[in-house]
Amino acid sequence: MPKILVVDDELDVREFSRSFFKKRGIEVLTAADGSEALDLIAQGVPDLVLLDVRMDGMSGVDVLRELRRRDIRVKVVMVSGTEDDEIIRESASLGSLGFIHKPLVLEELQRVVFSHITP
Amino acid sequence: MIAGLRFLSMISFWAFGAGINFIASVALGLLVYFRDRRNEKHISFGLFTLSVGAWSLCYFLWQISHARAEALFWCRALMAGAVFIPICYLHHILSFLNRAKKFRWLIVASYVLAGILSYFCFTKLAVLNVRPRMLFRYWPTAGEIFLPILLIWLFYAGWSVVELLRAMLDPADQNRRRQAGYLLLATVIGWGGAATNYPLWFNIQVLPVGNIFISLYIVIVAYAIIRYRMLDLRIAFTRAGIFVVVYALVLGLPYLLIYKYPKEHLWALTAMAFLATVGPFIYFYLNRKAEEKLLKEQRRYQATLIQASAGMGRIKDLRKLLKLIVRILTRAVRVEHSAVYVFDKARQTYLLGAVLSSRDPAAVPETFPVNLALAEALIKTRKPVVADEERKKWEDLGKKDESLICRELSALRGELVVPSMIENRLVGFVVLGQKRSGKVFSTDELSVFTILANQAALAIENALFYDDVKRTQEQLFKAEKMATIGTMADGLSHQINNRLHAMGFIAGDMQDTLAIKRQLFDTPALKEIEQELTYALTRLQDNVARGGEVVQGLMKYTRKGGEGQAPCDIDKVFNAAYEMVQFKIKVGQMKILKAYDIPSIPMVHGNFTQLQEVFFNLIDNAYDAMMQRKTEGKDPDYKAVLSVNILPVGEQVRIIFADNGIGVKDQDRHKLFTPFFTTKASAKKGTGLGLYVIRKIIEELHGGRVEVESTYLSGTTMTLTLAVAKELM
Repeated sequence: MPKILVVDDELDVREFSRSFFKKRGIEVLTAADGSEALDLIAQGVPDLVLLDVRMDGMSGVDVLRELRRRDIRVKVVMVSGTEDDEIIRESASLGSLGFIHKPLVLEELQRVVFSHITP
Repeated sequence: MIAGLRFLSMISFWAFGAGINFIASVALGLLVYFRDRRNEKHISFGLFTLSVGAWSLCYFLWQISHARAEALFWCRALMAGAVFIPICYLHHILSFLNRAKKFRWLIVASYVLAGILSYFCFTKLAVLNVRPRMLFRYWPTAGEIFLPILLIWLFYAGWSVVELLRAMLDPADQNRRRQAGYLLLATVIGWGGAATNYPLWFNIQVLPVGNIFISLYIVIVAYAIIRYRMLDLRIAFTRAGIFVVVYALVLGLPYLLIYKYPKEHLWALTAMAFLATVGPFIYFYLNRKAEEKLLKEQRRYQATLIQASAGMGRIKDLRKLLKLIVRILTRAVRVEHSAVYVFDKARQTYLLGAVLSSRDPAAVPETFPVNLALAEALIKTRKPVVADEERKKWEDLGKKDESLICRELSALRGELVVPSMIENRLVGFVVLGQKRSGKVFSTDELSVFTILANQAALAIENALFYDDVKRTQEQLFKAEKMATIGTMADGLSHQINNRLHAMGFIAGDMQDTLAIKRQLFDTPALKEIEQELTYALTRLQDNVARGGEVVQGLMKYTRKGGEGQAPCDIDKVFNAAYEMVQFKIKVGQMKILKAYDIPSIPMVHGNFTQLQEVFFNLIDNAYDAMMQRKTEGKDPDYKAVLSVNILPVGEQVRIIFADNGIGVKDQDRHKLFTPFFTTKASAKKGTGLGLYVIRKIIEELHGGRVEVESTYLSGTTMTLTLAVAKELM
């Protein structure tokens, strides 16, 4: 069973994304902030990380940078409401696979997630 | 009557000439003197005409003398007056040329010398005797000091001529040169004429034919003094007239009394004392009354003008101020029209600020360039330019058509142009048309206008400054508002986005659940519930998506900019935007006219993507406006047309989008650029951020300008001004 990690400071997002992917046979781990996400990844690398950019404490880009620093190879897709070119550029240079814009369309989410993992 | 004829037959041609000289010199002397009694030029001219008058009077009396002793007496008296003429003349020339101060002691000494000489004129040293010469029964023979007197006379005359020549060669003052020219001409004619008297004194057989030229000489001199000063003749004549009448009364009445009652000396003396005491009072009283009557109108409006000029400083609205100035002038001075021009820093030209015409709307130019001759003349002289004087000046030179100033004055339809100066800057100028009465402007009026215009300059400057401050303040306030919105938008959009994101997730997940469990809804009632829920969730997600668009717009606003600017091909930007916009609107519904010629348009300096977004919004807005008109207008023949033009203007390019859509109502126009303000009929279509983003991109990120012109039910024209890309060498 593929496993993805949803990092988002919104409880609703975490909860409903778990429900959404469970129905599609994907196990969802959730983290409410960056450090929790890093801890979880350290315990076991998921197949894909959906990483919110703007959170309290560490930002998504910080988490991504930390992962690269620790040389943890994990697929990451950024989720963000901003269209800031710089953030997009920086995450791409840090190896993120893509960018999902908030508020998302679930079909898009499904397409992106499924393109990176095999359920 | 018979006595009068007998008197006329008695006098010869020479007596007649001398009489004319006397009248002319006294009249013009009084005229000039009473024009300005404190001015040395006028005083010295008065003295000069007095001496000429005394000389002419004696000449006249000598010519009509019947007895030898009488003729000799008047000849000597004549000389006593004549010795004053040269020094008075020199004094006048020197003061006229503003050089009298330099020779103050010499002038005083000369007067003293003339006084001494005039005493000797009554002895036989100057006039030895009188005897018949040529046509004259009594002609004087020169005494011992006559020749020295003539030499002194020549010396002063020569000096005067040198002074005048000097002034004529001074290139600095055109006016002075011309006046000096007149004076020199007068000198040659006058002195030449007078000189014809003297050969016969030495028994040289020349008739004094030139004597009558003295009058001509006086007229020319008076003319030279007053010609360019626009003398109000009525006032001077009235003053001189009152003076003559009052003093004739004061001096004449006692003589009349003595003549009638030779025995009653006491009465005559008492009358004389009384009249001499009250004479000046009567004179001043009459003079004041006369001036009040003559200058009634002038005084009335001068008070108005001075009052108004004091109040002008309080008006801070420039438009209102300028309107007030022209209204005061046109009404109070009763001119045909008046206009005010104010220097515009941005456009480096004088702009018509206000105009008021008492008849038809005056066709005066809207702008007046800075580099014209008139503006230069105003700055140089700081004095009003009078069209009449300018015309006369150039007519004299026979080059009226060549005068730039005359041409400019007629373009302005101005009879009088008054500069508004602050220090050396010409802030603006006031143009006055002809007086409705047809009268000329007097010197007094000119000084009142000058005060008014300079006061106006201060008020204009004040108003401009106030405008500037107000604008700066508005800009600051706006910038602050924007900054606040910017900061708020950043946090707000994040928060809203997260909410929307969560809502989208929840709705989507529920929809998902419904889709997966569809088979469970197996009764018609349940099926209906399932459909209802699915529809509601779809709508919910739709709303989430649209909320997202609003937030996207806000994010664009908060985006920092300026980076990534390069030369952009405007046509390419337009095409890219057009391609994009096709996904949103049905472009087939409207016609797009490209009114520009592609190879001739320059590249602009900008960010391609941002400009593309601007164009996208412009096309989108135009489309919506035109569709709204189509729907609301109910005109079956309506054709939606968006015309796009690109005009290079110097270092800038103007990009013009003109649609024939619904337009903007007057009351909405000022809100156009306010974020979240939308007039779009289908509110669901507009985020209210389109124009806001356009302005942000064009004005803040590109340093350009966005202008909107719109008429409700007729269409909107959006004009963008952007800088031309500098060629990279």
